[in-house]
Amino acid sequence: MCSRENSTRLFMEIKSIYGGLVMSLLTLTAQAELTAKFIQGTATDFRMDRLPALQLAENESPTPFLKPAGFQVTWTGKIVVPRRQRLIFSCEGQGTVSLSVDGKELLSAVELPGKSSESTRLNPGEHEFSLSYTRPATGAASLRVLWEEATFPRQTIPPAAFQSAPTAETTLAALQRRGRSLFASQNCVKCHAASTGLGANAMPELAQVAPILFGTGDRSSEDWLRRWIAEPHTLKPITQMPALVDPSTPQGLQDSSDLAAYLVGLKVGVPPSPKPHDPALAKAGGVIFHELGCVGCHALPDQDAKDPSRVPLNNIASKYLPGALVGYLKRPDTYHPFTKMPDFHLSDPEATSLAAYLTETSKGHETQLARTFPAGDSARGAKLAESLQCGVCHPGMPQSPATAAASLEAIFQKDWSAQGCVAPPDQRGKSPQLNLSPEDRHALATFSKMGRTSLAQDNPAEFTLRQVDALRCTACHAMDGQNSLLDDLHRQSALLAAYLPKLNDRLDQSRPALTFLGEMLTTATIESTLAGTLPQRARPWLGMRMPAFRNYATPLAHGFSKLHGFSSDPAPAFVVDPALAEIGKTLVGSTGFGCTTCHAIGDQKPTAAFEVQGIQLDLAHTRLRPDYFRRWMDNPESVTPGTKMPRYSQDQKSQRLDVLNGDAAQQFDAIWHYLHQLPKSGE
Amino acid sequence: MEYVTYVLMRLRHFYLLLLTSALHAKPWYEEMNIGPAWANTFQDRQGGEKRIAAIKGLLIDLGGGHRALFDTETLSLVTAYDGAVEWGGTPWTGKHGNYVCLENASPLFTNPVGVAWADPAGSFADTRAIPGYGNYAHASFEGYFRHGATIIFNYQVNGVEILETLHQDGGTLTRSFQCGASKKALTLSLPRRESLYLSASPKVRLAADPEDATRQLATISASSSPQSFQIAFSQTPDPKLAAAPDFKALTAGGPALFPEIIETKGSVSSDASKPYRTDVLTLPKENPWKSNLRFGGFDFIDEDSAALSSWNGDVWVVRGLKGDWSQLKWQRIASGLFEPLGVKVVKGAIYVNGRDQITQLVDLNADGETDHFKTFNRDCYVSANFHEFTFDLQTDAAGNFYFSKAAPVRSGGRGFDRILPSHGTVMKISPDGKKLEVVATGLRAPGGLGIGPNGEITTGENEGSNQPCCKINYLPAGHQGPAFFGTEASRQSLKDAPYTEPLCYLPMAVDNSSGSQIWVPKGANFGVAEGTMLHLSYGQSCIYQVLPVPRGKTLQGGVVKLPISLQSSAMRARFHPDGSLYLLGFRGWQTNAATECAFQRVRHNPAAPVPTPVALEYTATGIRLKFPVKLDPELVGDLSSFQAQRWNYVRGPQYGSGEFSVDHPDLAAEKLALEKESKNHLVRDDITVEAAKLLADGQTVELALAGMKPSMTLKVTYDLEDDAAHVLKGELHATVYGN
Repeated sequence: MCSRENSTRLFMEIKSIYGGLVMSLLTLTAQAELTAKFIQGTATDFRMDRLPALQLAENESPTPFLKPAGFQVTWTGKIVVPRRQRLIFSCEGQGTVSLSVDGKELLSAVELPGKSSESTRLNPGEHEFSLSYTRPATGAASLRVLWEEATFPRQTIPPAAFQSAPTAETTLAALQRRGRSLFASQNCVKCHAASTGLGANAMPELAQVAPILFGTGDRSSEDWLRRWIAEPHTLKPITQMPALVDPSTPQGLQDSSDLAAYLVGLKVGVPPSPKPHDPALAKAGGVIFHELGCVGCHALPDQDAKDPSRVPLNNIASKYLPGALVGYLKRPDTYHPFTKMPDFHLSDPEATSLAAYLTETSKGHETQLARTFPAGDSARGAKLAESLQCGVCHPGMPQSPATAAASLEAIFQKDWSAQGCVAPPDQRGKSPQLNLSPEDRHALATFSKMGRTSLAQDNPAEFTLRQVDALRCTACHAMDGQNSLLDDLHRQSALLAAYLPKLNDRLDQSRPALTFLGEMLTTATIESTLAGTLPQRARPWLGMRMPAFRNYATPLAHGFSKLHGFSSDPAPAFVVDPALAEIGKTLVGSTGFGCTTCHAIGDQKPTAAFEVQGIQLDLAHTRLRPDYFRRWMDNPESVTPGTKMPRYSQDQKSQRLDVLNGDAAQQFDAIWHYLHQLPKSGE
Repeated sequence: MEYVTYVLMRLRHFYLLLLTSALHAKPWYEEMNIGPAWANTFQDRQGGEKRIAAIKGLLIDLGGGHRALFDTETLSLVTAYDGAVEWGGTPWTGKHGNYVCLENASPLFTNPVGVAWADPAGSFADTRAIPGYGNYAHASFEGYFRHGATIIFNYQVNGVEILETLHQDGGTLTRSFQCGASKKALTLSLPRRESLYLSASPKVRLAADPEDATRQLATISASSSPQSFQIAFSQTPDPKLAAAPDFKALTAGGPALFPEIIETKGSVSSDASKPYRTDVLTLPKENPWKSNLRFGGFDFIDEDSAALSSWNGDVWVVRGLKGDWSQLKWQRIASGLFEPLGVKVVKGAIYVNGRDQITQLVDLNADGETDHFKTFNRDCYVSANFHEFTFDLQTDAAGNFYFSKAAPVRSGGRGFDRILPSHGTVMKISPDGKKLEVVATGLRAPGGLGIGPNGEITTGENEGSNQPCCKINYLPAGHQGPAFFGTEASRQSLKDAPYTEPLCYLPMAVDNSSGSQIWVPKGANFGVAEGTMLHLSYGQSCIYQVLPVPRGKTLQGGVVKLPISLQSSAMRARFHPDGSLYLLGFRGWQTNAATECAFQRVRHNPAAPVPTPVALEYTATGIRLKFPVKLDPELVGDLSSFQAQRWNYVRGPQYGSGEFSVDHPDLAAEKLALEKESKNHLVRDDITVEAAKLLADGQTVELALAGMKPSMTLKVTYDLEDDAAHVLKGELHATVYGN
C-alpha cells in the first residue's frame, strides 16, 4: 500500500501523461479544422473550428469571450480536394460573406441569401481558403457554406475537407477555454457565488449540482464512505470531489469517520433488498455489461483505477448496500441529476443481473488504503459537514454562511497562480484540495486573466463540444474520421459474452457517427434521443442502445444543430406533392430501388435485411433534415465509409433512367415527399 | 338531404371496400401460378412441430386443393394432404432463414423419414456418405414428365427404371407405378397408422414392418418384363384404385399449360453520342400466371431466341432478337424449378441449373413447352440453409459444365451453418453429366463465374468471413488440382492447400457483390479488344474491364469501369453472334439495381471510342497505362492529373476487412483485425506521383509512383483529355503482387 502522498503523486503523473496525450490528440484533430478569428471592435478571439458554420440567436455570443453583439469572423486554412474538381461555392444564412480560394475572391461581400460563385477549377491537393462573415445588424446570425460539382449536388462542405494548423493565438484561446470549462466543472461558483445572477446565457454547467446526499444511508456503506471522504482521488481519479480532510493525520481519519457516520444516518427509509449470490445472474449481467459497451467509460470491475480516463468499478461491492445498485442502474440521475452516467432504460431483470455481475466481480478488489479508521461520531460529522460547506455543492446539506468563501467578483481580482484553490500546494493555505493537474492549474490561471464575463455569455455550440468531451460521446460514436474509443476498448469485455457465439452472427452492429449529427437530425430528434423519450428506436437491431442523458438533452441538442449552422426551430410544415409522393412510393418499393429490402416501415419488417439493416423508413422524415437526406442519398459512402447502403446515382444521374428523366435529385426529392406521407410509427 | 347522406354513406362504404381490398391484397407469391410441380426445400408440420420435410422436394399440385410432397433424394412420397402452404423462403417472401411450410397438420398420411425403397440387401438404412444428405447408391431420381397438369416421376431403384404418377379422387390418392424388368423383388416403404386404409393391385404384397410400427411394406415380385401396379390411400376403408394410367402416352408430351405467347416491344436506343447504347428487352411482366420474372440466368438458343430462367422457377423463351424488337414473343416453357440461376444451351438443348439439380428441358411434342424435366446431374449436396445459392452455368470448349455454389452463410451474414461437400465450391461436370468434380473450394458467395476461351476459370466473390472484400478469382487454363479461394469454413478436403490469391481485390465502392465474368469473343466489335475479360458487378450494377498483368503462370491486374448504363444489376452476360452483349440482372439481395429485373442488349457505337485504358503494366517504379486514343501531352505532364493510393486488407475470420497501410504497417491493428471486425480501420497510403510521361505511341502514360511495391489495392485516378479535347476521367483499382 502506498501513502496518500505517493498515490496522489503517482496519479498526478499518470494524469499529466494522459493529459499530454489528450492534448496531442486534440492537436492532431485540430489539424483537420479551420482557424477562426473573431473580431468585435477592438476585441478578438480565436478558435479551431471543424467547419465554417454558426447559428446564433440575437442575444447569443459568437464566442464566450465576446459580447452578444455585432462581430466579424474569418475562417482561414486549407481546403483539400482529392481530385481535380470544378467547384461552385455558395452560402446560406443571414449576414454578409466573402470567400476566396487560393487568393482568388469567389464571393465578394455577398449579402445572404445570395448568389453562388462561378465555377472554379481546383487541382487535387490543398488550397488556401479564407471566408469572412459579418453578422447582420439585427436578428439572428447564421451561416452554412456549401459547394457543388458535376459529380455531387449542392451540399455543405464536410469537416474532412478542411485543414489548418494551430497558431499561438488558437493555442492560447484553447487554454483559456479549458480553464473556463474547469472552472465550471469544478463547481467553483458554488463556493464563490456571484453577487448578482449570471443571466440566461450563463454556462449551463454552472447550474449543475453535486449528488444529493439524502438517503445515503440507504445506499452506501459506512466503510466505503470513510475511504471515499479520506481519499476521493484515489478511489476515483477523475472525480471533481475535492479532498476535504488530510488522511495522513489522525484527525483526518477521525474526520472521515465522523462524516461517514453522519452520512449513513441520512436515510429516507428505503429498505435494503439483499439478493442471494447467484452466479447465473452475474453471468447474464456480464453479457449486458459487454453488450451495452460499459468499458467505453469504465474499467472492468475487477480492475483498479490504473486507467485514469475511465471510472473504476472495483469499489462497487464495497460501496452499495444490498439492492441499492439495482435502483441506481435503473435511474442513475435520481440522486445526481447531472451525473455523467446515462440511463440505459434497463429492465428489472437487466438491472438485477448487471448489478449481480458488478457486485460479484468487484468483490475483493476494492481499493485498500492501509489506514485504520477510528469509530465515527455522527454529531461531530454533522458539525464538520457544516464547517466544510458541504451544502454549497450537495443540495440540502449543511453550510455555514459565516465561513463563506470570497465572492466571484473578488476572486477574479486575484492572482490564481499565487493563492487560493488553484495555487500550488504550498501556496494554497486552507483552500480545499481540488483534483487538478499542473496543466489544469495553468489553464485555470490563464482563464482567470480573461475575467468573469465569459461565464455569463456562453455559446451553445461550444457548450455542446464541451459536453461531447465531458459525457464521452466519442466513447461510443465515431466522429470526424476518428473511430470510437469503444472500437478498440470493447474487446476488453468480449470474454463476458464469448459463451454466446450467436452474438457474433447478428446483423452489422455499427453505431452511427457524430460527424454530421447537427445536419443529420432535427433538433427535436436529437433532444428526444438524449432525453430518452423517443417512442421508437431507429435501429432496433442493435444490441447496444442509446442511453438517455436526460438533464443535458435540451442545450446539448440545440448546440449540435448550431454547430452545423442550423436553427433549433422546427421546420415549417412540409407540403406533400401527391404526384411526387406517388413516384417516390414506386421508387421506394420493390419495383423501384427496393428500399424495403433492408428498411422497415412501421410494423412491416424489411423483406430481406441481410448482413445489415437500415433505419425505420417511417421515422426518416421526422428525424432527418432534408439537407442531410440529399447528401446521404447521393453518396452514402461519403457519409459512412464502408456502408452497405447502395449508391443509386452516379454524377447525379440516377440508375433509374425512366423516372423523372433519370434526375437523381428529383427522384430523391420524390422519395422525400413519399416519406412524409408515411404515418408516424405508433399511429 | 337524406339522399345526400345516403349517397355519402354508400360512397364511404365503397371507398372502405376499396381500402380494405387494397390492404388485404394478396402478396404476389400467393397469386403466382407455379404450375403442377414445384421444386424447393419444404417444411411441414409433424405433430405440431415444423420440420424440414424434404431438402430437395417436389410439391405436386393434384388439383382441388390436394397436394403431395415427393422427396427426390429419398424417393419418398413424404406426405399427402389437403391444403395450401405457409409462405417463407428468400425468393418468395424475401425472409431469411424460414421456409415454405406445408399446411399439413392433418394429412392423409405422412411417410416415415428415410429412403422409400429398400436397397438390394432389403435395408432402408441411410447408407449415404453423409446421412441425411445427398444421393443414395441404389435409388436415383431421373427427372419427371409433364402431361398437361399430370406429373410422372422417373427414377431408378436397384437398377430398375420406374415411372410413378399420382391421382387424387375425392379422399383417395392412388399411386400408379410402372417398373422395368427386375431380377429381384422391390420393396417400398408405406405409412401405417390406425385411420389410414390402403388398397393395392394384386401384384403388390402388403405387410406390416415388424421393425417399425409406423411402416408397412409393399413388395413387388421380380419380373422378367415390365409391370404396372397401383396403391391407393384413404381415410375410409377399401379405397378404390384409380383407372390405370397410360404411361406411354403420359411420357410422350401433353397439352401445354402456358399456351399464351406474350408480346412486348423492346426499347432500342438511338443515342449516337455515347460509346455504348443500351437496348432494353421489355419483360412480359403482365402475364396470365402472375409470374414474378426475376431472371437470373440465360443463354441464346439461336441468333433469334434465348432461354431465361427466373429465381422463382420459370424458364421463358424470347424470340425475335434478330428483328427490330417491335414484337418480341415470350413463351413460358417451364415452371416450378428450384431457384435456377444459370442456363446453358448446348446444341439446342436447354440446361437449367437449380439448387437441386441441372435439368435438361425437353419438348417432346414441339409445342415449345417442356414435357420432360430430365435430370442431367444432381450430385450437388444441398442443405436447408437459405443462402447456399447455386450460381451460373457455363461450359468449356470440351463441353464440360461449370457452376459455383455459395456456402451456407447464417442470416446475419456472419458465420456458417453446417458445411457440406458442395458448399463454397466451383463444380465441373462432364459433358455427359455423369461425373462431378470440385475444381475450387473456399468460396463464400460467388455470384457467378466465367470460363475463358482457353479454359481459364474465374469467379466473383463477396466480402465476409475470410473474404476481406469482393474480388476476381482466377485459375489459368490447365490448372492442376482444385484451388482454395480463401474461406476456411468451406476449405473442404484441401486441408493444406495454399490460399490462391485473386487476380484483383475490389473495394466496396467498386464492387459489393459480384456477378459473372465473360470474355470478349473473336470478331465482336465491342469497343474493347478481343479476349478482354469483363467482370460484372451485381451490387454496383456495372461492368468492369479487366486489365491483366502477367504473374508467373497466373495473372494479377486491375479493373476500370466501362461507361455502360444498366436498368438492373449486372449478373449474367453473353455475347450474341452479332457482337452485342446481352446482360441480365435482378434484385434479390443488396444491389443498387434500379429495377427488379432487366434484360438488355449493349451495343458499341463505333463513332465514340471507349474512354478507358486498354492495357496495364507494372514497372519497378510504377505503372504504365495505355489508352485507346492519343492523349493531350500537356495534361499527362501535369502531375495533378493523377492521384494514387495503396492499401492492404486483412484476411481473417472476421466479416470483411478494414483498409491497412502498406507503407507503415500497423501490425497491432492487423492482429486485432483477426479478433474483431475492422471495417472502421481505414488507413490508405497516399502515393506521390513522382513523374508522368507520355510514351512514344502517344497513348501510354508511364507513372512513377513513390515507393512502388505490392499492395492488395492500388488505386490510380486520372483526369486527362485526348488530342481532340475529349475528357478521359476514371479510376483504376488494381492488385500488385511481389512476384
